[in-house]
Amino acid sequence: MNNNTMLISIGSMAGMAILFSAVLAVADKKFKVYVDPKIDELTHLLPGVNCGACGFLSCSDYAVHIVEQGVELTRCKVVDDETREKMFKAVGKAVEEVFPHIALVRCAAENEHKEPRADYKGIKTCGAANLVNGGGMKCTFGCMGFGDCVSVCPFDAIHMENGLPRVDAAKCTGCGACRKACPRNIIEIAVKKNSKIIYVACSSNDDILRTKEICKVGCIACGICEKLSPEKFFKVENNLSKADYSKQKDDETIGKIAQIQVKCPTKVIKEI
Amino acid sequence: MIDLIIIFIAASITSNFVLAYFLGICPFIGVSNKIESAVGLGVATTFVMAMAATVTWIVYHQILVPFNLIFLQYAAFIMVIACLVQFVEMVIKKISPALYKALGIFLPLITTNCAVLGLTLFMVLRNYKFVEAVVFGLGAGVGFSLALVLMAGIREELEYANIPEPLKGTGITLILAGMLALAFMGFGGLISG
Repeated sequence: MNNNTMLISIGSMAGMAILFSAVLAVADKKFKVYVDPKIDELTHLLPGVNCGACGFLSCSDYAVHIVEQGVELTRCKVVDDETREKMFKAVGKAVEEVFPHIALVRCAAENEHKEPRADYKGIKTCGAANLVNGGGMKCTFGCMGFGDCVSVCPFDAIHMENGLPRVDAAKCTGCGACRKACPRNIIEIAVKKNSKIIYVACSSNDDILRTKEICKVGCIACGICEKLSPEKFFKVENNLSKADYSKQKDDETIGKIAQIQVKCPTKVIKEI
Repeated sequence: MIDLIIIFIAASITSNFVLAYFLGICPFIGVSNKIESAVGLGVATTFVMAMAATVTWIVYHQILVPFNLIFLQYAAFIMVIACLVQFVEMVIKKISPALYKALGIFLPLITTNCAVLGLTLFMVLRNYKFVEAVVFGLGAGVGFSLALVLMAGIREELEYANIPEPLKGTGITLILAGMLALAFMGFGGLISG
């Protein structure tokens, strides 16, 4: 190889590089798309876990929707208050307060409470077990305990303990991934305004006789909680008591509800 | 004309880039989860492959061969492919923001798809004429999309299958790719020579 070959190769490669970069430069000018700098700023502030709780595909997709379509900033349940304040400043809006959300598991049946009806040997997921009429459990409303909710949690906030998922209140952001994963709609997302939230840990619409027969920790819809609260903290409907979270305004009310809580005959009213 | 049809069918089916040469396995495993994204990536890759075959043919026969610089083909081809992907990205972003959003990260990743580089090197190796090279690029892209979409279809069904624990994920996907390749060998007699 002589010097000439080297010069030609350098020249031709450099020539091609210049030609291609010129084409790209022209294309960049011609096909330029204006991107609002706010979108970049918001994308950096958002947590980047892409949990989808806001209803958008990803954090950056949410940022685009905030800037371009004026979607409210309070949809993200994951960012802490300080970062949210920064987000409000980034788009030039007044700061709004947001209460944390939390996942409530509305079933109390641990392994020893789950009454078997058949021996389920199928795929070990709740979704599959629910397809074959409840995966061998007598209760058709309660938790089957295969942990679909545990595997989808992006924050490691829900764990199986003795056949029942437990929510770690410190880690849970209320993104709702577990709610979507649960085939029996046991998990509910609620706003937690106070130090704790009181809820009925049962989802069964079975009547009192059936519930008494198959579950020791189910709501039997006796109505004691409803009768004891003239303020209607609880309401029994379809053989199931449900707590009205909007009435749990302050810690004083929570104290009152806690007195009703201990009167529940099956101790199915829980707190987190 | 018959020659061109044979080149097209050979590139897309009988010697499919993914299933016969095992090129481009990374996107084949990575983007075959859903049919929707598989189709998107298939279309984008087909476009890049056809364009890459066209441009590299011109670069090779008009610049590299006359100047005796064939040893530079790898560097030159990689440069062409990288530029093309950049260009395609810009155009798609401007013309169809929806498609741009759907393809996401897979669009720039076409740059590192070895099937595209493989295509340009095969084209040189087999001494294709200009039109043949374009058809070859198009056929290779169609073949790549076909393999990707077939795999995505199988994997969507696989979600409900009871797979042994150690084989879950990539393991079963590679086994399936092997089976699919065996099935494609059945097309071997379609073209002789």
